[in-house]
Amino acid sequence: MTLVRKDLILIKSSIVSLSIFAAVLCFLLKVPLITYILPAVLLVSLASASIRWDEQCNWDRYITSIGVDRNTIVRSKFVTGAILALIGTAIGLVISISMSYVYDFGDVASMVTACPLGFIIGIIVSSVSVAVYYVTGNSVKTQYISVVANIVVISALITLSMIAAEAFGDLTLVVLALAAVAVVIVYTCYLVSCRRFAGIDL
Amino acid sequence: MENAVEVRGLRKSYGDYEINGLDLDIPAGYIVGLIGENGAGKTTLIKCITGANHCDSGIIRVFGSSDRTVLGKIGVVFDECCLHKMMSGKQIGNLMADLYPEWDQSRYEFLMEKFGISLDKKVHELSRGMSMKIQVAVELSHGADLVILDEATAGMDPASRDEFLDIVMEYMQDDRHSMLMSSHITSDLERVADYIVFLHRGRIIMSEPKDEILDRYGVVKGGEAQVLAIGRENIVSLRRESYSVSALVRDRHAVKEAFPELTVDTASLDDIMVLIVRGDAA
Repeated sequence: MTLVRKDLILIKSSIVSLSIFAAVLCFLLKVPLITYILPAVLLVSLASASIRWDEQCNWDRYITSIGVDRNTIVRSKFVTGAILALIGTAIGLVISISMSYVYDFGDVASMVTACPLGFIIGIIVSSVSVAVYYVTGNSVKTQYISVVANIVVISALITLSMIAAEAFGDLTLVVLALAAVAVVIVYTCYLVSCRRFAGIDL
Repeated sequence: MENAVEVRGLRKSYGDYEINGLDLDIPAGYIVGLIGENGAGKTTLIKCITGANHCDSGIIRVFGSSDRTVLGKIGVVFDECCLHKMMSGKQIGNLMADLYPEWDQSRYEFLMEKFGISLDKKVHELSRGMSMKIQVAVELSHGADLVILDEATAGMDPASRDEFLDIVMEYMQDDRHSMLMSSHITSDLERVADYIVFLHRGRIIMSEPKDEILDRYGVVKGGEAQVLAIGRENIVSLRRESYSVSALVRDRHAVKEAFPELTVDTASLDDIMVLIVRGDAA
């Protein structure tokens, strides 16, 4: 948890500025689904940014040298991503409730049911971005690959969710199915990242 | 003698550069000074010892164990500050207190004060030398039994280096403490090191007690014929300059005795490095 705390200390100010940016964007777009998802997706980008900052000051070289296990370092990035997704989801819910006073956003109960979508999408985006970073390293190419990979994964999930929603007619079931898919994606990304990070010279 | 670090048959290659079959011991309770030209493999060796780099083959044991995931046993200062630039001295202290089981906050604060660094200053507000001092303060405050310094004094002014070396000596008062110190400022090593290891093109070409090196090795200067008269077997390395020749000799006392007409100077670590790296092997 120390490494996670370090990341959160470093990205604290970015969390505030990105949250304000997300709130402004959500108020302008006025789309409920985007309001649930956007804050989480924006915030989790900080998880891969934290890997870049670590690399810039050779933090990983240091932390590995003093005896921190490499898998622990990778795990901390996934936990940081999950915490950011959670914060983003909470912010999304607060924005949705605030917007419900201005626009027709439905009742609070349906918002609470739908807002885990933000967490699920957020944690998937975070995990895919972190894994892409560990696999391809710090380059412009990484950012493009990360964006493309996330667009492909998220589009596929949204399409499947819409099909599932029509088939089941129950949002809770769709959220649960998405959560199960998210677990598989996150775990796969974690294993790939650990394997890659274990083999590199720092 | 017990060893803090044992390296046996280390191989590591990067393209056309390689460390090939290197053996090294760092005896417990002593300071080993690591010297060598740029690209000799000092940092690679250090990274292999700490586990930041993977060896192609070979065995590395730290305190008798190949497992290097024991937090706090080793302290490392690399040639640049590895702490986050946006963190203050206070935040770094809090972070390290969480990280290291034997973190000594009062010692950290004492060292920071001694180095003249405010705990409120962020790393990016400090010069390179000052940021290195924070890293040194961290590494000497978590109860490490082995401290590895890779060019830690680069960027420090002479007064700071002097103060730093005093702190190193104070740390070494404890018999359990050992140190590997790589530096291009060989005068620092002449002051504090017990052993000198000279790495040249990925191979150890000298590994001896410092006092013996400084006592035995010598430099003979003169005309080529005059210098070569002492015999190739006595010469380690030969460097031809515009009007004279300098030879590094293995036993200056023996040479002085055999050739009293020659001036045989003592050889500093700098002299030894320059003559071996830039000279021709005899």
